Amino acid sequence: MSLHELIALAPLLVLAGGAVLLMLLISATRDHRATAQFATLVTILASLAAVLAPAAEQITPLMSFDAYARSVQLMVCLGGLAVTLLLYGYLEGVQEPREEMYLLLLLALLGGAVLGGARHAASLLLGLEIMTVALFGMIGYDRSRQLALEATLKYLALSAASSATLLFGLALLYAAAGSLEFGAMGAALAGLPADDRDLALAGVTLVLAGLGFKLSLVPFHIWTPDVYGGAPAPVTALLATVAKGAVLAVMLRLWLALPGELRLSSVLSVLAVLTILVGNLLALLSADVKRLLAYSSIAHFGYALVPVIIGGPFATEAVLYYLAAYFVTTLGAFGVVSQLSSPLADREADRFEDYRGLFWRRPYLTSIMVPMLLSLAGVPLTAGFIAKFYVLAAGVGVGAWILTGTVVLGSAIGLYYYLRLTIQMFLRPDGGARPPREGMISELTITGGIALGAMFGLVFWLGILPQPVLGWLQFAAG
Amino acid sequence: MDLSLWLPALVAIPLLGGVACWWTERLGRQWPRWIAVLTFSLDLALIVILWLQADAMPQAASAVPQFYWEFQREWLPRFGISLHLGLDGLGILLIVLTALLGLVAVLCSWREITEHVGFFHMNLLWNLGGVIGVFMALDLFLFFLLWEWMLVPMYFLIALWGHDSPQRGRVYAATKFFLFTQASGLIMLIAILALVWLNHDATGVWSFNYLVLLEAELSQQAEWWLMLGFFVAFAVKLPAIPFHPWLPDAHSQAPTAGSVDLAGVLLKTGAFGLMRFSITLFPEASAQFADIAITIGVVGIVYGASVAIAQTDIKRFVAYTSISHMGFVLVGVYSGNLLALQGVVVLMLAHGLSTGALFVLCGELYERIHTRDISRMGGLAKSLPKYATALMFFSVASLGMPGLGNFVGEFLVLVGAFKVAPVLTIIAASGLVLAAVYSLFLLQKAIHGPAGEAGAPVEDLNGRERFMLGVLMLGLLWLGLYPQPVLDLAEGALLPMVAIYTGAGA
Repeated sequence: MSLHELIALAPLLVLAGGAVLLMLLISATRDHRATAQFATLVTILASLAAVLAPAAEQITPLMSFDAYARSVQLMVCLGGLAVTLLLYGYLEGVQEPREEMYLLLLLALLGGAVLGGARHAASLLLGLEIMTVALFGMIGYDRSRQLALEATLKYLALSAASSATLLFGLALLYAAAGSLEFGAMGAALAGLPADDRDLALAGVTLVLAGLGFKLSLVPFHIWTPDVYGGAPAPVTALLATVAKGAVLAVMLRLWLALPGELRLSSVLSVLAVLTILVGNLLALLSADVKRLLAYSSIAHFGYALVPVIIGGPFATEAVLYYLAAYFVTTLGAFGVVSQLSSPLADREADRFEDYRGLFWRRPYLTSIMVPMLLSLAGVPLTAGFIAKFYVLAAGVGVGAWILTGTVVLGSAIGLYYYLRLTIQMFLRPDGGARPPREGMISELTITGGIALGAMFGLVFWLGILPQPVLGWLQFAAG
Repeated sequence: MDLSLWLPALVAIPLLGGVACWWTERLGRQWPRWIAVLTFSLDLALIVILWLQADAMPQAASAVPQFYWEFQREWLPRFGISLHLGLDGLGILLIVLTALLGLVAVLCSWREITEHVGFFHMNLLWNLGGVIGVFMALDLFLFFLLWEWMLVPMYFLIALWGHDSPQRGRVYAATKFFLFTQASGLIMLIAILALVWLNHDATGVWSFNYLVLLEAELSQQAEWWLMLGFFVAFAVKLPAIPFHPWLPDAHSQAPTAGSVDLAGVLLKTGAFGLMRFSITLFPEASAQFADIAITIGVVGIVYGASVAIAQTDIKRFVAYTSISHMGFVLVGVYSGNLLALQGVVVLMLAHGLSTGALFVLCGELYERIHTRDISRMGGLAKSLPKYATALMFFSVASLGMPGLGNFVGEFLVLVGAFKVAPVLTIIAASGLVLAAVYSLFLLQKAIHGPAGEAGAPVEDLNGRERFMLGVLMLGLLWLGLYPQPVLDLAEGALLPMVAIYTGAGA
């Protein structure tokens, strides 16, 4: 392996090495700030730097490090950085050993980074399993909380089932195509006579079902609200962003490699329409903030699926931008929830009344939450608007009117519940009196404040001056 | 000095002023109020100076829209999006109206708004800053962005400072307003995107530039659908039947400043959009659609006026009269000749002033007798002579009394429309009769007779209130007696619209 290839692999090597190093550090001395927080941040930053370094395109048949992969890995690392910062304040309240959470986080990021570059069924499975197994530990980290344990079990059982489905689907595809590398698989499948496609068709369907679980597409979404609601808030942020985003990235790569007839466009369209409508309607009915955000994240992956169905270079661009905007916004929203939550309380800040009058008590935190909700709703000048603009532009460009119309309908429904939550934060709490305002320092922990401040800035930067990002994505999709 | 830099300044001043309002709230409640007054005065001064400059700049007759000043900077070259603003006569007039009513909105909230004063004024300034931008935007992406931008502050104005009536909450009204406008806005976004894609497929260039898209070649079917997409968004804002259900709720639950702002300015963005974008981008489809649009307008005139007669809530009453007046605007726009369009412009300005004033009067009355129920009012002429005079003046203006602006506008619209659709115009004219009925009905109930159940208030209009109502009266008299400067200024902007529209219809 040449030096050039080693540099290309560096993001993965750094993350893996960082995990090992952290494990050794923990065994030597337990110190939340120095060993855990600091070592994790350094590892992720180093990996981030490695992502940005110019590198070889392809290493072994397993991995590709093209601009597309690096865009995804960049998002994974940045997402991990934000989650690390959010975890610090949150874990301060945990009585049990806290340091292992960071170890699991690094492993989950490693899985996500592998998925970003995967161009082979083996690396797909490898990345997926590294990530999922780490997430089991993270969701149930606080063993004293019953909801967290329930969430872990649900996630464990359904992940295992979906991985098995995915594996079986890949096996069928291998049987049909004789190759596990996406490009070669697609070429072989395209060469098949039409009558011999049945096996491949069954394989693709199973793969779609397996990935659908991870992306929580309707009807594979049942686990999502329970798991999102039960997991600690910073871990929910990770689940909703890195865990789903990396899977969507690899799915797009696989899908674009498949021949057109095997992309199951009509099935995917039905799934997207269902996901958008069901996700939004369930969010509308939900009276719990974490579950509301969970349903909204279901709906958002319905929107993100639209360009995947449509295909073409514009689709890649749209998906990548959508993921970037969605990462920033969701991390911000769940970040605020985790700032308001503490593991010491008997539940997290997930009820509407926890947010009533928040603006008058914690104006800074609310000033961050409101743009996040508006961005999720797709209001202009936020990242979410440009993301929706991309999706609509992709839909309109090929004349997919039903999908486009569903996106509009879903946005209108979504607006209603985002606004309902937003206005809660400005209304007076029951009883009438204006609550006393808290100081800025007590509002935000310092690390959480840094993360949320960055998300706040990014939401507006991506919404107002995204040209550098658009230019890069156009190149990455090229 | 390069006056084109003043165009972004017109938008930026309210935005910065809004931030200043928010931050200075901690110094005292008067700070945000005075900053808001200053901000709108500054904008008003700038736009009046621009008006005077524009008067000195002759415009050659042209079939392409011309602008006195244009401001263009690259923004998102990936999609051919730029920060592109342009000011023509129509824009100048509507921005003057916006800044003036902004000033009125601040003044009329002086006593009404006592909580979160800074945040209130920030929302007001940001909302009107967005509106000013809408009147200048020449890039369709920027236009859509500002179009949506107006909504969020308006939502907060209604939801946080509005009134709860027994049946409907203010949050309900605000949400309904937001949903209607946002959903229709997204339909317009799809139409914009489709237009841009069609242009991109034909020329290979991404562009959201209005002047470029004017030249886009569209198939008849495409033009028809795109026109409908734009029409829906503007018809909701106008509002035209059957897209109006948000309006009575939003108007009646909003705080006074919000109602002034909604009725006086926000509704005009719908009419402006129809004139600037709908009929010029899609002239042929619009010409085919004209009969339907005029019919919708006439239905709106009669429906709004009839429902207004039956109202007991004074703010809902004024809201329904707005629907009726906006029907005239729709009729005028789709009549498409110069006379009718000039009428539309005068009517928009006059309606903004008179309805704005009526909402101010509703707010002042509510401060004094704490009810909006007309059936509980009475005898105001005795207890509040100055107030009653003002109510009389603006009600009469609203019913279209010759000598005041509304009459000039409605008259020109009817004259222009008669050439195009005589039968419908005759029906529309009956709206004037109904207007007289509902206005006089209100005056009789509220001003004359014995004092109502709500009791006789003691405090007549104070100096601040007399000042702002006096300014609005002068404006209406000016529009009614000597509208020529306004007609001249608008003509330069309207002639190309007429040329494009009639060229397509012929």
